[in-house]
Amino acid sequence: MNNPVSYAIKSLWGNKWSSLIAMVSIGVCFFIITIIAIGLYNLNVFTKNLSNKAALVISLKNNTSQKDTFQFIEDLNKKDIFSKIKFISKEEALKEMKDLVEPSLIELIGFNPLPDTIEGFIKDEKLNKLEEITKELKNHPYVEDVYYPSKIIYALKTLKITIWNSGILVLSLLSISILFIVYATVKNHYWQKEEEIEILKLLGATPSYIRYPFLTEGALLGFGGSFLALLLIIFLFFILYSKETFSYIPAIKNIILPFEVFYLLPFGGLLLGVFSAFIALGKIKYQ
Amino acid sequence: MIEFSGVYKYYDSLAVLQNINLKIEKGEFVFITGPSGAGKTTLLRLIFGSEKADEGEIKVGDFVLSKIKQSKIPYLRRFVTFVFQDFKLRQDLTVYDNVALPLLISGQKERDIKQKVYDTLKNVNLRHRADYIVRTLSGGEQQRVAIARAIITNPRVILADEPTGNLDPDTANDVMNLFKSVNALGCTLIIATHNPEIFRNTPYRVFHLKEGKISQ
Repeated sequence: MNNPVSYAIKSLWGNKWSSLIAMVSIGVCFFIITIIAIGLYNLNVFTKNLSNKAALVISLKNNTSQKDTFQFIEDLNKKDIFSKIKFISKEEALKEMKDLVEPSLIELIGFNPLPDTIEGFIKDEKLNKLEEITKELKNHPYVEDVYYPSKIIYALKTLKITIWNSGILVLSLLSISILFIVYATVKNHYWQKEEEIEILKLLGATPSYIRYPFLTEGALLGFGGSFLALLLIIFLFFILYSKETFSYIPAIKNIILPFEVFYLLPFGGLLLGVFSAFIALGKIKYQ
Repeated sequence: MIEFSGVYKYYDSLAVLQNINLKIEKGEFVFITGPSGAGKTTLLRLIFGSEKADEGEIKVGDFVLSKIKQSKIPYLRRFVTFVFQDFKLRQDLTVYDNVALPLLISGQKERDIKQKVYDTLKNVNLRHRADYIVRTLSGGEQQRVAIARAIITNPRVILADEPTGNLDPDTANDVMNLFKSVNALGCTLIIATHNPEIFRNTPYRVFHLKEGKISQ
């Protein structure tokens, strides 16, 4: 028992099937945890980007001259509301539309129904004044109407919070499951060695001397499981990123695998394993 | 070295030890005798910190056992060792590994351990059995392994509970001679036995326990 690592490996090997089942179960739990965590991370990035990309679309009246339009853009720039302003002429808009809608349908209309528009990307710090800004712009003589996808963004943000809360709940439940798997495995191994441990106590072994091999067992189970999960994640992303797979869903390639996963997952597994084993051992009693 | 002051121990409402007052000096060799169920083992277990007295105070060296913390008990058990009636040996390990165990626990280095174990096994005439698995040994040999394990750390006190209980008279005599030689080196020895042959004509102090009360 002098070398806790070799003792723990021997103990796990001595119960190889139960240890293997425990490690695979932990691995599966960690895999699901990581997938959910990556999902939450990507959702966060996506909604953040969406807010940044959300622009006010200002439709200009048909009779607005080019000179007035540029003057209006210059006025908007001076207001310090937008991080970026983009002018889209009605010709450009029609061209874009032809990429989305069957051109023959547009030709049926016989004229260009689209107005000149200005896309204004609102600065983050001005987002709370959105309604006020919209109202002011609507009253401008050159402006026909102002559109802002506020409802969609609000709905997405609400959805994000719901997904986050559900995700955190599932993460907590799975973490507790891992804790129980390690707890049960280590406790079982501890009971198997009860007689041996009793002898150690009689010979003056300290609680830490008795605990070390079992904490190491917990660490190995946690680390092994999380490492297995990491391999599965790498394999999964390899498939997702490969050229042929999911070529019909290009957005898949936008999913980010944060680098932190590569060290947080094994480290988290190790810590959770040690913590669970520590709880399983409880207080070492001599009386 | 060891002092009992007004010690009581109850199991449920039954008083196993009653008003025990006892003082054992450093380097003494003492017998605790009495019939089965008199409380001999309980008395040894109190000294070893396996149980707590319900009343009174027990001092073992600098350890005050009524106030001892759980975390200090391992250190008490390096100061006081125990030779159990059923030996409490690891049956699956070799004689060498069993005897080396207390040294490993106290954090000694492998190279120091080797020499100490062989020297101790030589003292108990078991050097030739070092690589034997304990369960293949006779009762007398296992008792000597238990004694070797108890003396290897040079404890200040050794407790032995019926150390000759399972042995034939010749082997019992060998074991007692072994204890005397350990005592000659300055170690305090407390032996609990109900076998009068062991302490008959002994020059050492003999305490009698009967129905939980002690007399000399």
